[in-house]
Amino acid sequence: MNMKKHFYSDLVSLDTVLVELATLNLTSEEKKEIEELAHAHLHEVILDAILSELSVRDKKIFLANLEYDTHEKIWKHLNEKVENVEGKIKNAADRLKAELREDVKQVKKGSR
Amino acid sequence: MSKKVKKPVKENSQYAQLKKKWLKKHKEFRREVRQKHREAFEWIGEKVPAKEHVAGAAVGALMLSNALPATIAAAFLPEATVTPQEQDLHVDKTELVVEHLASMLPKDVRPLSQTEEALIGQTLSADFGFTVSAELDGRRLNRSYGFIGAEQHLMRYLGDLMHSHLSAEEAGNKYIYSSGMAPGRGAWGFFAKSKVEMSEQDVEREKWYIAAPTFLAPGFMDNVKGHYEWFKYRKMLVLNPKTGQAVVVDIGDAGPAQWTGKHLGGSPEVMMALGLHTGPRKGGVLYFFIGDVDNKIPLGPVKAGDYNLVISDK
Repeated sequence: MNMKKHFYSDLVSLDTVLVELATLNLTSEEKKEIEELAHAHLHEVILDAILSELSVRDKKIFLANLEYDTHEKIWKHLNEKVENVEGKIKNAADRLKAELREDVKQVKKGSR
Repeated sequence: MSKKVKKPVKENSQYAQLKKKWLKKHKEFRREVRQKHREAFEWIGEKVPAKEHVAGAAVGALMLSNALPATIAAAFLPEATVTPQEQDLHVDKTELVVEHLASMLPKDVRPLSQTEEALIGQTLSADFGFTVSAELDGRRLNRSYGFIGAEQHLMRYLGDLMHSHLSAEEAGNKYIYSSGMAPGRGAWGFFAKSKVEMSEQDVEREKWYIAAPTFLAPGFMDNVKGHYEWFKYRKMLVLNPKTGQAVVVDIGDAGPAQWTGKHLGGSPEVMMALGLHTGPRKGGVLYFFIGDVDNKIPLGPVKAGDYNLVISDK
């Protein structure tokens, strides 16, 4: 089973978080579940980062494009409406990744 | 027969700690995002019923899930192979409108504050898909929430009579026929100069007219001519908040008088569309101007959701 490719999948990845996760004492099943949770949260963070830049009308258009998963239309619309949208998505993802890595470190530290 | 037994998870395990932390974080953030962009999420949720969500999944499943499992599952759904057509997305949002208004309207039918009008206008605009407001071009009526009462048909041209006024189908409707015709002209005169010159627009304007107390509008006496011209056939959305029944009307007459205890009058067709044609033929309604510069919203009954495809420019 492969992870679904989102419109931002080529832009951001959780690799650094996954590396941090690998240092925990997790079964493969547990690891998979935690990774899924991280990806779900990343998706929310990216949605918010984008929606926060759009008017109500454009939010609706974005959500409709997202609903139909038409990556080309999503990017065309976002590039027209949001200045440096890729940078904003990356920044939001980076902030989350730092936060998630810190959470992992704390859990590791707490269980020593 | 062997049965796979899952190893119990220790509460203080790294897995349990991290899962608890991230699940809490995810749920709280998700709730915050849905609240922050509520209008857009409600809109897409209404446009795309649950069964349609498989296609895109990205938003849909995320919106529908209350807990993580469904959220995570959404990311593993197959790639979209179907692109629903826009016309398939029509959804009747009448119940949603009633629900929204129930939480916003006062118990008594009274004039709304500007804040209430703004909030309700915004909600109705989102629900109906076109912009409505209590004030337009700096003009407004004396109130936007009041009692509407039944009016008679209006003469569209000199010599218009009941038997020529109604189609055979309309004449067969007891309420429409028995309402009768007012003896005089409306405040703006006849709708047409003669029967032969009467257009479809004239017919619709009389059919879906309301009588509004334009003479009580703020500033009316300071600029009678300006107000008179502005209010003439001005398009409004009239809505029965108890049932969500709504109709796009035009102001075709001035009235009713203050002593009647009514704040608005509706043609027989308008009263039927609002579900207020039986019993006392009176009821509380909201009435907001429609910002329809291009004249794209036709007169007559309308349901929230009919204009789902018109995305408001707010």
